[in-house]
Amino acid sequence: MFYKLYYKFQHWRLHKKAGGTPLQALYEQPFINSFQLFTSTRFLVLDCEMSGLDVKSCQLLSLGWVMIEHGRIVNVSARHQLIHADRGAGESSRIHGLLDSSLAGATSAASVLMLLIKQMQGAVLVFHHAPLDIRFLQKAVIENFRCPLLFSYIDTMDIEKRRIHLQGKTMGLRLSQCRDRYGLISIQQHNALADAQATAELLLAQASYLDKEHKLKLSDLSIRCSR
Amino acid sequence: MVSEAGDVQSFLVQHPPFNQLSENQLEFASANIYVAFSKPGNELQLNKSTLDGPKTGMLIVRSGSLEIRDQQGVLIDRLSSGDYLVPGVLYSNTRNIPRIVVLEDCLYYELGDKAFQSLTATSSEMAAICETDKTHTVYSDDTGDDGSYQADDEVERKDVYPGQYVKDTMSSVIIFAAPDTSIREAAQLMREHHISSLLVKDKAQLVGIVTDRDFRIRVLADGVPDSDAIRTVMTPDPMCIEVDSLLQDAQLKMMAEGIRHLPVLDDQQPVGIISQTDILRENNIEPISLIHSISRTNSIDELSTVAGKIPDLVVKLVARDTRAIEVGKIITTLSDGITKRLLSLATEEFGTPPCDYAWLAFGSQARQEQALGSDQDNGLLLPDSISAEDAGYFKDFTGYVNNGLDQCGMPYCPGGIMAKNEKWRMSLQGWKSCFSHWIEEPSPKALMHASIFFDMRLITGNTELVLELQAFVLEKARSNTIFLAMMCDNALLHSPPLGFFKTFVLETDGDHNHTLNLKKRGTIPIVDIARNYALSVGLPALNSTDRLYAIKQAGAMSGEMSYSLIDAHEFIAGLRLDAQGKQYSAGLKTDNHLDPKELSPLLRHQLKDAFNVVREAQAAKKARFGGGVL
Repeated sequence: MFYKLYYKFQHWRLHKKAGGTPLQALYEQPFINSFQLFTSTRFLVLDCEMSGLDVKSCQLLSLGWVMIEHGRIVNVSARHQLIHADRGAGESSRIHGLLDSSLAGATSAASVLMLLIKQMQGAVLVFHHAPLDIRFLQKAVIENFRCPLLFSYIDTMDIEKRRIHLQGKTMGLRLSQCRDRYGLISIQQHNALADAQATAELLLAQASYLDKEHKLKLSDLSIRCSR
Repeated sequence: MVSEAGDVQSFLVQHPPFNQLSENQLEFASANIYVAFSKPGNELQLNKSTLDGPKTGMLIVRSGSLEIRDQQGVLIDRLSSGDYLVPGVLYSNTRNIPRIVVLEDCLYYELGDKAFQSLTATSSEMAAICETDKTHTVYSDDTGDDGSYQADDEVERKDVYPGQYVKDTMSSVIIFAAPDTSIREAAQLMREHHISSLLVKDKAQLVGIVTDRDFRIRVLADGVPDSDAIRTVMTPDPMCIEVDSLLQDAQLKMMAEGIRHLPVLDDQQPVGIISQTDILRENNIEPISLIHSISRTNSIDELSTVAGKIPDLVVKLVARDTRAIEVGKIITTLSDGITKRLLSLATEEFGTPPCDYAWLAFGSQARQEQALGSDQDNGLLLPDSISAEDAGYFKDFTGYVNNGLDQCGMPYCPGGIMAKNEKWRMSLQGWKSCFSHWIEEPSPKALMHASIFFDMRLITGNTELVLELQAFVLEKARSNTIFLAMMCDNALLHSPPLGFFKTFVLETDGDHNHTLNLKKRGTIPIVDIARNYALSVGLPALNSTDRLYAIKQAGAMSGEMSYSLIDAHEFIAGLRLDAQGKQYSAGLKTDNHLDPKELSPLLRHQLKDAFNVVREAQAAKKARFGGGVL
């Protein structure tokens, strides 16, 4: 219920600033009600790869996303976008395998973000561990368009945390650990797209377990508003 | 954007039928894939298009498993990673729409119906999966040609084991002909008895021998008319060998003289014949020496020690690539030997039986198809004239033998079909009325237990009693179509474990999760088919392979079908033996279960084809004998 209040507040606070920028359409789209059914919602599952964990010194390297419609992952909607970096990929290139040479051919942050904003229309975003990704995303958007994004999102790590908490247990919450519990096989490679797809599968699994008679609502998935 | 095949596409490309698609077709397929997840217990409704989503043309399991059952709850198929189903085909029978239920957390791909349709239009591999019951027979190479495999074995078997005797290896079935018999008659006689040589006897005197080779060299090659007397072409005064000679002497003699057959004499009278083939076949050192040890034992304990060596022997035979049919015969020969020895030990223990008797083996022992740990099925046939007092003698007698068999690795029959049960110790009249009851008033349940009685073989005792009973049963069964139809119905309960889309349906009961029961699902259906046909034509053959040959000879089954079945039988029996050998070597209890994951893809494919042959034969059988009682 704070979700709606906060969304309205953010909208009121920022919509003038968004006017005339590529973000305008986002601010003009209708509010997504938390009573909306899971199966009739369009989701954009997003994963970001960064050059490090510190927002101030590090930056986005790539984005991967895939859509969920009617409770099904739409394979053809999968995208993997590399972002042209001002600085080299740095320490995290060892983790993501993104080398400077492959980043060199990448698109500029602005055009990747504009593609993303287009896809976000009418969709609820999905992250696994949202706060970090959102912080980097907002920083990049503000740098490029001088205004933050406004969107609704759910966090599969949050969903899992609540589920485990209800069972009175403590368990690992990393993506692969969560997937294990739903019998989802571990993914071979780690990049933004593979992780977005893995997160999407995890969400379907969580929804399947939370669902009763196709009545699962967004409020059951603790939908929130971006900050 | 980075070009990426993506997880979906790289999964598809590894699995049929997608691995047959061109790169463009594959990309198209993967662009039309929708990924979904369902938890255990959920039912998938693929016939309704989900909400506004696209209709599903095909479903591919990514992880987890699904189960398809019909409305009555009968398992149709079980799908796991890489398996697929086509709703259009599955739901084509509108009267009995199957239910698809999730067994384990299941992530699956849905291929949109429109995309599926256009793929089937452009790819024959995709089109083929809509015809689920495609038939193919792959076995035809090594059918019924014993020559090649014996040749292979010659290499290993050439060294003769000292201490083997001619009398144990010779064939004691000898057929005599008079010197004036025509060549044609002689040849017919040999065909009738499946023998390759004929002894020529003038009055009581052995005067010559004719063999297959003589017909070739002295008759055909010289253009001798077949109406001539065999006297003119036989080998007069043939070389002979004494019954007590060593086997190696017989072999040396044959090699020295360049001949292939030796009549065996006991006190100047021919009692058998031994051929090079006999020596080659029987030079399977261990079985022979085991039989010897068996015949020399003097107590059940000694006997069970000897019997304990049988599994080792089987492992060796399997390692040597002996055909499964041969291994079955060797195991049965040993079981027969053990039974015979036990019977004579019992005679020593309880005194000479007061009257004639016939010890009958049923089921696999009768068919000479025993495997390791096959349980015993036997009964006792007694003359009609037997008194109640005499009948009492056999109580302890049979108990002794059954117990002995159990100690020798042939466990008690769980169904109690053993001579120690009074129920299965009957007079000829008793057995006749028992069989009459099964044949004339068949009930499905009774028949399920009775079918093994129709495989019956004499182990020791009065031959005439058995011959009379066999003739009676064959005649009765052949003329009773209702009985045959019932038996057929019953046999169809054991279906081969192939799913709707030619995937294995695995057992889920007890300890044997995710395995195939090769005996129940593979061997038994073939044995049933062979028995069913054999009874319908009145054939006395017992061994399933022999039966199938004879059925084909009698014109009751097409040659293709019978050969395919023989090969499928051999193949499945081979896998079963192989698995048992491995279990035994690993110190596990032997059973009939096999995890298909342990098979190579090629073997898996062949096994599927073998099961498919069985399924076809079952369908043909059903058509022939009718489904149920009129």
